[in-house]
Amino acid sequence: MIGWYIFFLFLALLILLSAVGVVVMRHPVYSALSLLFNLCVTAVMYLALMGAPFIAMIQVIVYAGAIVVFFLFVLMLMNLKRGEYEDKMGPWRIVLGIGAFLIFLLQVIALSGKWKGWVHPGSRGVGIGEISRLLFTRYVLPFELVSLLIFVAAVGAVALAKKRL
Amino acid sequence: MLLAIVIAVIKMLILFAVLMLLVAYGTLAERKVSGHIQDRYGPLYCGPKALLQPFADGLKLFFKEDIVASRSDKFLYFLAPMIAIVPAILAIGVIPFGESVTLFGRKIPLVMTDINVAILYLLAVSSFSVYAIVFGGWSANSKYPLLGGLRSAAQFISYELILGLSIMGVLMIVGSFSLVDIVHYQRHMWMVVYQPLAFILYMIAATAELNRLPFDLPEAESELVGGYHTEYSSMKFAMFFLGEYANMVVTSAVAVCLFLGGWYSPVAFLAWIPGPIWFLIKVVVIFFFLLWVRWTYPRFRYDQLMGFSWKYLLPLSLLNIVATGGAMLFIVGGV
Repeated sequence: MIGWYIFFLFLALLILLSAVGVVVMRHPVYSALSLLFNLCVTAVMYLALMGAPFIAMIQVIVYAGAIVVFFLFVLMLMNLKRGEYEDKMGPWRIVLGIGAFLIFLLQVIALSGKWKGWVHPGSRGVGIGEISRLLFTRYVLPFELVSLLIFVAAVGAVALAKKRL
Repeated sequence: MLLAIVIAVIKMLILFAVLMLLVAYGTLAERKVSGHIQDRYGPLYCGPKALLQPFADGLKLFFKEDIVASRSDKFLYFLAPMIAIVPAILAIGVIPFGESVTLFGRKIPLVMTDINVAILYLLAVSSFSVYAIVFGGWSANSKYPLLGGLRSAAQFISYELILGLSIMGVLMIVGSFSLVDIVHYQRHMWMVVYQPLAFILYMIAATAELNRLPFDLPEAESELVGGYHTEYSSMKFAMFFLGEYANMVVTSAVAVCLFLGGWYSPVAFLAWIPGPIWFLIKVVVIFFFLLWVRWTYPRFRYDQLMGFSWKYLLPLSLLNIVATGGAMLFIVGGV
């Protein structure tokens, strides 16, 4: 058990360090690299400590396979040189940072005491069959609503961009 | 416990050696096949039937001058060739290449590890191959590699989707994400018979993911010099090359597991040939198919490439999923 604890601390340290890296890296491409590393280590945590292989794999497929590639695509399209990406946010950056931290703190308080039994170090985890059974029976309405929401967001993005084409 | 570790290490070494051997002779096969398709001989002089050519190539690449582009971003410039080889090596861990064998009274399954999310693992691991190209293209700080990397990112997002969706039909029929279960299901009939459309879609998407003709827009030598690896030389270039061929071998192996019956013999009277041999033969056939396609078709234009993915392949792959679901519900009865 002590081994798992050390392993958790190690992963948590990597996650936190790479999360800080996303913010403080000088060049946006390195921020994206940090983000990629962060998402992958989080996936390792899901896999090894929470017994959730499905969510770990989906995390890597969706985030590493699509979203960070998309970020990099946009960053490369702009191909910023040093000095071209000055900070235009100014003091707002600090205000927004504190706001994000407060929201995080609220989440921790709201969830504290509920997370016993979330951690199953070394277990093979629940199967995909059980997850899909829950998704299509008990949680079918929220599931479909979320997909509708994402669809509306995609259509909205196209509608907004269409004006400038 | 110790014995299990020793067995795992031996399996790892064998898999790695076979992969590297296939990669080495894959490059020779590419040159030979291209030669014969273009009515030439291809390499002839290095050893009998040019069989030593891959080693001569490797030696040459080792002793070439290693040029580092002076305005490049050093960290990513060095990182990119390292990433290039990683996905293929990670992926061979879940590919089953035979039924289990019994040695000294111990049953040894002929797969590194049989996990219940193997297909998802493959998709997850293969998604890293794009970073080699994107980082390599960006870090060289040069026009042509940047264009190559840019094209690769867009192409990858589009075709990764098709790749994932094309596999869904197979998963629906088998009802398991484990590659071993999928191969066991095909004991009597290959999956390609039930899922012909999925097989075609998979091969198209896989060719696009491998950046091979007719989808080799990221390197397009006639317009982008060498694309993302223009500024690389010596062993760094060789790593990209190695990664590309290793990915080809792995893609062929996955296609064999999913659609062509894995290690099972196609006809009953040839069943005495051991499973791994059958597996190797099938992999080589698919590999040859990839070479054949490359030296036959011209390159897509960039807008055609994106349009082809989103307008034709995506609806077709969704149709395949719906049709498979319908067939399972009405013909087979129940899920």
